[in-house]
Amino acid sequence: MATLTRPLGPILALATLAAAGTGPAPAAPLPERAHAVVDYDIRVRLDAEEKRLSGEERLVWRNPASEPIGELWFHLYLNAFRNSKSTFFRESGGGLWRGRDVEDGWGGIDITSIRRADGVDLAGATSFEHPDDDNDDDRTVLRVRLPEPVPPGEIVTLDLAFEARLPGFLVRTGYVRDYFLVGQWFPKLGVYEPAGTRGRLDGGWNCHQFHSQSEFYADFGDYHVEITLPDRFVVGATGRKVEDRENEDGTTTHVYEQANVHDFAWTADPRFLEVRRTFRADDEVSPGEYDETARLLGRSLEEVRLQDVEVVLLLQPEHAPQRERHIRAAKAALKWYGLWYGRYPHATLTVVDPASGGGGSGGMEYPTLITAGTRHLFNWWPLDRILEPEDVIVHEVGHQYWQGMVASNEFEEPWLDEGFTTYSTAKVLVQEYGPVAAEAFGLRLGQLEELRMSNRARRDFDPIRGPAWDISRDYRFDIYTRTALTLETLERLLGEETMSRVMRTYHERWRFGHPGSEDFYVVASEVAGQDLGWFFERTVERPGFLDYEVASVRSGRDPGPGGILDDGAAATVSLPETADGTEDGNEDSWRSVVLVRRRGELVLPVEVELQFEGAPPERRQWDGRDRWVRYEATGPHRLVAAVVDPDDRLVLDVNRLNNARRAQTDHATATYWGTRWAFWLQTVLSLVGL
Amino acid sequence: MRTLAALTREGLSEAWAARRVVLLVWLIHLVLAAAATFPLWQSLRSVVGSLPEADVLRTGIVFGALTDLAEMRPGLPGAFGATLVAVAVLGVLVGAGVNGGVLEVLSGSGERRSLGQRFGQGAGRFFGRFLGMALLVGALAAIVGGLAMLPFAQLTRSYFRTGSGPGWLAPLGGAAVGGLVLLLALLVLDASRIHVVRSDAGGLSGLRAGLALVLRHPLLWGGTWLANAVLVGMAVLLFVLFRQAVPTDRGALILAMVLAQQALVFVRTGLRVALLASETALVERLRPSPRPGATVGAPTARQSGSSASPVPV
Repeated sequence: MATLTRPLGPILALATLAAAGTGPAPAAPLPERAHAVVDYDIRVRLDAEEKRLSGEERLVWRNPASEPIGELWFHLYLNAFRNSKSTFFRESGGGLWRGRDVEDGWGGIDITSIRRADGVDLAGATSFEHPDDDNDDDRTVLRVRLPEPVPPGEIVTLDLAFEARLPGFLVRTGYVRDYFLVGQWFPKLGVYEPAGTRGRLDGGWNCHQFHSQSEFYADFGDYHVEITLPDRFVVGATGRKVEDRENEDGTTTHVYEQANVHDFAWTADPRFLEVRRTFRADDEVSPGEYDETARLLGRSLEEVRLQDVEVVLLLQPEHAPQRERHIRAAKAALKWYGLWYGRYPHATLTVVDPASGGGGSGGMEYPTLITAGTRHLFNWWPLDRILEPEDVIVHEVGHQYWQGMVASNEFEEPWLDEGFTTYSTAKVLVQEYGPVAAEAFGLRLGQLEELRMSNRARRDFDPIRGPAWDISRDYRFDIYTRTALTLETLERLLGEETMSRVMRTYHERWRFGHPGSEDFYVVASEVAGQDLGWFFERTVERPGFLDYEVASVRSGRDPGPGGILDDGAAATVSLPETADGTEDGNEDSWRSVVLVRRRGELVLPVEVELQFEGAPPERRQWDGRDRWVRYEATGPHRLVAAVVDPDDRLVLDVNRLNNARRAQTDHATATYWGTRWAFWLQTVLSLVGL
Repeated sequence: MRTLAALTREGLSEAWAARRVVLLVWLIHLVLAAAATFPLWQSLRSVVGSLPEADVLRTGIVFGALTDLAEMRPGLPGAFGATLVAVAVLGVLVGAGVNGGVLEVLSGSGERRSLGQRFGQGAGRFFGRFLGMALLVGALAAIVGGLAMLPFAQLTRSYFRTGSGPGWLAPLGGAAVGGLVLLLALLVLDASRIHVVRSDAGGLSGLRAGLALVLRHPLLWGGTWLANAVLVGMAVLLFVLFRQAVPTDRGALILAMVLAQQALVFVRTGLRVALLASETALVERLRPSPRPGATVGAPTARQSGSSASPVPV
């Protein structure tokens, strides 16, 4: 297993080394396919009444390392739902199944046969492992010892048979009534990381247990999957459907194939309304948008050109009025992610709308197949202005890039996956729909505002980088929100063009690869032409929040020199205490004092702007290292206000309101709200008095 | 329809004649609201007065700025909430007094007592009965309304869980039933209050009489209320249009907004008095008061001072 302790020195050294070669990085060609490590050929049959799967699987694994490997590690993730002793259930504290029909809902998977292709039985060479904790009862990781090691570059072929029961409480995978979302359902290999992968010193298997917050890390390969189930079902799956075979027993076999992916999921529901549309790159992207993207990224037109994709929407009939919303969101995601990071390489994208009561399977990402999530309420005005379904779709399509292609380790470094996707999602939503995330009854909520609102000083600020199972208290905040705000802050510090090239280069370099945090740091420093190690070390590697505050602003008549002066005349003076400077003093000169504080632990350099009456503002740089800084200015102009971070670059700041302060108070805002409140109270008085 | 128009006209005419009582009620509400708001305004002023980033709040509700503000003054949201609850409780008490005062003024137009005297005496005389009636009817309406909405709530829940069923008719039906129960409660309360003022009856007998009056003539009562509600709606619409047209980012414009708010409150108060006057007129038609000197309970063909014929009961 990969070590999780990281000294910061190497991070900074890596970033420094990368930054030493300043200037934009040369564009790497966009990889068109993955180096296939493992190929799967699976035949599975669904017993829709018993909610059971019976499957046969042949896998071919190539040893990617330079040393012989004598064992294989498998994910058996359906066993997370086997009983309440699994790590998944222990971590989720019972909340995931509370109120559900547990007795009828337990799932699991058993391998009934495992042999090498030459017939050697391996059933006696297996054991369950629990690399992440001391839970002997967890059966989500299976280790298989091979009779002989697989030499470097050579293959081993295994034949497996398995029986599985899908969980009935539908958390990520399972069923509700006749709706099935079948994910993490087959014996799937973990990742053998050769030495050097994500900073590893020695090669080894990286195969984590199924956790309450993470489930993705696997190797790329080609899939051929044949799914047999009653013919009343409408089916969707990872990849392209290559054949439908009607069987004599009233079932249909649906055959899907997909190359260059690291997982396979499928869904079935007789009620699905199937909508097929084509994302035609030439229609969806204008020549001007191609030109602008190529200029922004410093790439050729050919490099940024997109390809056509068939979008399959499997919608619940009661959500039919939202059909075009779903399609538009999927197409927007394909367009903007494709332009910014690299073209979507697959032929299909399937968007699944979970059935009512199946919300636990919503918002999931599998290669070329995502689950959305909407409500009837969003069918109609005014709630149709709330972009929640769009948000979910754009987010999950974003995972096709940050996890699907740039396949970082979600268990150990979830910020590279969920956080990058959250940052990217906000950008696509703003680009496609404008800055307003939700609007109803005259109230508006901005995309960025939504993220910033949850960034509160009172929350638990773990380091953003950390294993998913360790960041348990405020996972969503630390991994999703803070990463997005951190990357947005970085973008505002570097500029849009540089940040766009950072993200593009990172994607190009690690498309179909397994990068770690250091790999991103290196790319960022390299493309930015400066060592950004300090930024990541402060914002990602350490806990703490950012909050700058203008604590006080005073401006008064300059009393002139006081004390014992050189000419021997003694005078006693005192600084005027009033903010408006009405006290006696030098009428031609104002003395202004500003106190700026750093309230949080996070230190980032910041600008402070002093705004004067009748004069242009002055800007001062502050490195933020001390807890406070005082600025004094003496001159002919009265100080009106002081503003920390006047260009709003540090969106990580937990409180924007205290970033500015004026010398003289203005009661208009309080009066506006006071009178409004009084008006509401009058209304309450008259209503309850009816 | 003509009866409703006549009742509405009569109510408006009575309210205009009693405009000083409208002014008085408006003032009472304004003073109470202002008193409850003042400490909050002071607290708000002390924190946002010097923060330019808070100026965005002059454009309306900005969630990000409000969240920041709540973090800077953690007690502020609680203070607003507590004030709201306190004012709501106060509103029930004030409502009992105000309704008594207004009805006393409306029922004694020929008297020599000053308006203040009549209002004060009415408020004091009927306070206990009106308060008890309001609490009882409020509790009953909550129970009956809750029970009536229960099946709709179950249908709605089932619809959202399974995606099948009556669709949006379920929540809409629930809302309609709840609204009807509420309206019935309000009309019964008004009818009961008028009956109590006219006959100096006790609270419970007033409620019985009020309920009987409304249930026997639901269209007349509902129509009278609806005509008044349309006028209130028009006033609210005008106010909303004004608010949308006029920004509030400067002092003078904030003053304009305040004037518009108070104009709306004043008109709303006037229309409430008009509704009570219309309903009083309606009761007068349904159960005319005995003429002075006549035997109580004797049939009355025509009421002096009333221009319309009684409505057949």
